[in-house]
Amino acid sequence: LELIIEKNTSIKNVGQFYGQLKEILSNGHDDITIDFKEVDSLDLSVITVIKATHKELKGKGKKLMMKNISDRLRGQLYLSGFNI
Amino acid sequence: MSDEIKDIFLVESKELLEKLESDIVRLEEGFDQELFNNVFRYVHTLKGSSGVAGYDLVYEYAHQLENLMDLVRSKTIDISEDIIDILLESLDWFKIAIFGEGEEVSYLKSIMETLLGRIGETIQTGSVNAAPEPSAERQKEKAGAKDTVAKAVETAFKQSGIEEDYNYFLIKAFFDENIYASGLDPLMVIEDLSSHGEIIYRKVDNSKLPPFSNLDPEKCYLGWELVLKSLKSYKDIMDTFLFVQDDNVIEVHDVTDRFISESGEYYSEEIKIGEILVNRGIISEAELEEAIKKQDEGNKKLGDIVVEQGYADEGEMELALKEQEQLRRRKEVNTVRVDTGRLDNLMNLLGEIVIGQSMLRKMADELEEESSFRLKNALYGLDRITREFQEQIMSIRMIPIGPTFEQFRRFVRDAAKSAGKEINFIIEGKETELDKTVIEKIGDPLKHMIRNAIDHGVEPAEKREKDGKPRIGTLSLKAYHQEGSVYIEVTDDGRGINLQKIKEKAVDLGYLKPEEEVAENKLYSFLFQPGFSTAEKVGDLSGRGVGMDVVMTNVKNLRGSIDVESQEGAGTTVRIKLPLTLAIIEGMLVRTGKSIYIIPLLSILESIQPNEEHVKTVEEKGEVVQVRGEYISLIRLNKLFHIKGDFEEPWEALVVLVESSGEKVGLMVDELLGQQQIVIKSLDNEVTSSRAVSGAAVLGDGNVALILDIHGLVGDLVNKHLQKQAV
Repeated sequence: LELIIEKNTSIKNVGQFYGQLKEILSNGHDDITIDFKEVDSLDLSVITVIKATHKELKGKGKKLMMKNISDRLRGQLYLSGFNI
Repeated sequence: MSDEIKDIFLVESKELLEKLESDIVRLEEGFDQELFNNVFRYVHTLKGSSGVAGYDLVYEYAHQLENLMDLVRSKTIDISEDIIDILLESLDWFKIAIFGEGEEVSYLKSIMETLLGRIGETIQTGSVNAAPEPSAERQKEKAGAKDTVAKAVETAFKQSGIEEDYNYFLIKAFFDENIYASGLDPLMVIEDLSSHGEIIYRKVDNSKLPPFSNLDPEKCYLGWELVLKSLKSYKDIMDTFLFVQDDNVIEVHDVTDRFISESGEYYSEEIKIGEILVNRGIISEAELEEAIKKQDEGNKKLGDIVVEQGYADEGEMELALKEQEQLRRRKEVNTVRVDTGRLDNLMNLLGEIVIGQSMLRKMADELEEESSFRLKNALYGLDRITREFQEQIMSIRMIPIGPTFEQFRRFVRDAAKSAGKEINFIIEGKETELDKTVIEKIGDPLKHMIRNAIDHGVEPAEKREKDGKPRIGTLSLKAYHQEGSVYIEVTDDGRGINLQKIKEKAVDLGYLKPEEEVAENKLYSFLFQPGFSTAEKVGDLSGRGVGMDVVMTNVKNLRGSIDVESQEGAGTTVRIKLPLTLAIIEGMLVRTGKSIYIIPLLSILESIQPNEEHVKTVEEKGEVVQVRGEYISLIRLNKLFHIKGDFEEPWEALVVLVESSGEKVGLMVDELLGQQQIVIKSLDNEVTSSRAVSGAAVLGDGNVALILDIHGLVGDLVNKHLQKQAV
């Protein structure tokens, strides 16, 4: 399944983003791909939700994949503990 | 097993055992988990490498010793004096088993069995740690707080190496979970921080991150431990956190010194795959511990277990393995073991180049003006490169004195125990570097000095208490650089030296006349004469009057000097001054007849042309020259070396006054040729058996000049006088 992160996703609407992912996970989808084509950077609240998703999927033997990562975002993900 | 593997094992285990010895003795001074982990790691490494090198008995014993250490590490039994003794005796056994000369296996086995018996007994009866265990979380927190700096810095160094111009900051940032509500984004702060330099270590603490289903996305769960390499100041870095300092845990430590001073040690260690996985945030520390436990139960590789348990997938594992390989390669590339013999050869070859240059310079003087100018210009450039080359080789030979100092911990411990004294041993200036050859030769003199301080300096505890001193004596070993020389001091806070006793002994031995007035430093210099001891009884450690003369001879052989400072009742400092290197000296070239000799500049006081009436012959002293009222023995170099000089009498020639061990001597020469840096060439035993010569140097014109051994010359003269007095 592929999820595109919408432009302007941030602490202001992170609950919505979390809800989206919660639904995807509860539906038992296999690997998830997050597409960052619409965002150049994110804040920590959004990245934390992605981290928790990664942990959840990993625990179930599934994978979280990412695509269209900008340079700035790549740096942010690295600083947040992702090895990409 | 190939000889090469065995050689590597021998070199490595020597270093390992030295570290092991020092850390075990430090453990005795106070238990420290980190220190104990070091000891455990050294034994474990020794076990591994001994297995590869075919030292099966060492492998077997190390394995058994690990069992005991594991119980201490897991706090099943407390560390005790018995365990420290077992560790030290095991260390001694390792030394014999690895470096012994043909010890019978049955002999080694019999000691090993005795030790194993004691290990078994200790495991059975070892005091069980009855103290209530702190909660696992609290324990981890505590250990974490203590270990974080070391671990983070160590890992960062291993991964990136150090660069001297940079500052290194260890930063811990743990944010309040409601920080988003104040409109702040911690990630922006961390990004800002990374813009100040390079994050060379990153650990994101996500231990507070709940499972996805319990997540409150509006709360902050993450924390950071980072090492930043930056050209910015501490204040600049602190300013980054200006708006988040309140209500959040922010710590910034400048760890630059740590990087610089401890780099060697960090670099020598192998980076573990588990460490990489944790640092990359792929697995948690708890998962790593779990995997290690499983590894101990079977024969599987840690990586396989981590994948099997689902802590990491194969891709992540592959990345971590790749990183490990890169680090290993970097380590291999950055550190090369070189036989010091090769460095010596390199230095000798460089000496030849210097000689070649001098010859060319001489030839340049003989050429016509333009050619001479061009050649001299070219030689000037070559000079600069040669000097730089020389400095580079010298710097390769320089090593820190720390490991030599550390070896004395065990010695002080055992010697103090044997003398029934309580001594606190302090080491300072471990990072001080000096030439490897000097370090190798300074060990014995230091041992004598420490032995003396323990036996004669530091008083028994009861006596100290009675005198109002702390019960435990202090003995310190300190090294430092000053004005191009290295100083090593052995200081004790013991009873000090009784000058009156020295004077009486000196009179008894005929060094002094009873009425003779002598300076304090001259009195101390008698301590370094053979057979001179003021001790009333001969102990196990010292007091036989043998020792300090050997110290002086060894130090003089290293072209060093010794001075003593002491205050009765307060303590003594014996200070050794050493040159940074043995390969080059500043020398004064002097001529007698057609021969040229070199006098080390350090020994020269002045040169004079005496008046005829100042040259006399004195009973018991032979020929002397009177300088400002003082009679100084005279040595005519032409007579010493059986050559014909230009002049027959000292008042026609020149006299160079030199000093060694407080004793002055005048050397009669025909001419002073000037001073220059001399690359020393050693001579074979036949020539150097003469106490008057310590080496030779090849001069610019290709001729060889002998380097005078002032200490030897003075020593011979003093002995001759003593014999005359005895007759």
